[in-house]
Amino acid sequence: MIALIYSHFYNAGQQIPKVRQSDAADIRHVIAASAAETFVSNDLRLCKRLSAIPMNDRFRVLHLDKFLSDLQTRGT
Amino acid sequence: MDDREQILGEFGLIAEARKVARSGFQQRHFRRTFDTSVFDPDHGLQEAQEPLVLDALRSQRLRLIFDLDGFLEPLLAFGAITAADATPKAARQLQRMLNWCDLRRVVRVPEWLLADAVLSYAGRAGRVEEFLNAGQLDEEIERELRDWDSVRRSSVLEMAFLREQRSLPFLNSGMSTGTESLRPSLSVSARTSIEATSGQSVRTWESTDCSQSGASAWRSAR
Repeated sequence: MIALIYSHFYNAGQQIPKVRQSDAADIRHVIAASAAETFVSNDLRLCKRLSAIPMNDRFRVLHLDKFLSDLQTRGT
Repeated sequence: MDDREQILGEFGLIAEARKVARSGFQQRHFRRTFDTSVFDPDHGLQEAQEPLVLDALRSQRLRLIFDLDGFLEPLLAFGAITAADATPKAARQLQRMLNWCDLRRVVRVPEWLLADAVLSYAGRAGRVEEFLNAGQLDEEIERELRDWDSVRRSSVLEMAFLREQRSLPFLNSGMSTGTESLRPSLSVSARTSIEATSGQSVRTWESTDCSQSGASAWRSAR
């Protein structure tokens, strides 16, 4: 959670200039998503931000395009 | 049976046991969750891409779980300023969620999940229960429906404030200050929009009085 908030504010090495109204909902979504193994989002900014957090528990964050291409090629 | 066969048999059993354990392990790893916007037919998963997901769901290569927040988010569109444009999209989002997600497993509220995870990590609690049980689900839905009116009232005040402060033309055009006209009854508008969009009723919103029987409608949908 702390890592998520930290990466949210300082992901690019500096504080983000603008906080979106949906950012709070994103953080809630991601916490709930930890009940699954993969979180699929089409929000590139959120995916990038989450990817910056080291996660050991096999939790993966995938962009929708990557998820669909995986589904097409590997079937999972 | 000689020793060799016995050993192989044991190995066979072990191999079978491993297969079962592995399948259970893999089953767990099929669980995925979609961001709410992925269900959006315009900006998320396109209609043309839908068969790919449906095939995976049918063949049980994919299992989708969701949380109540994700489900409640599109409902806000039914009271939005641009309701006419937003409701068909939101209706499609809700329909996809209900049809694709495993309704037996609704993820608990993030605050509880986080608190339990911290306690569990600190050794003050056992394993974190990730999903709502039937009783908790009913309680949560009742609470959300109860809170809906207060959220609706504050939204109306915010809109009125915005309209006066900024004099935005789109906010001023044809918008009444009355609560009911700005955001009509959740249950009726949701049901009507979903039916109008899809030509069929969605199981969850059969009830006309959402605040009284929303939880039981939800329960029957599961």
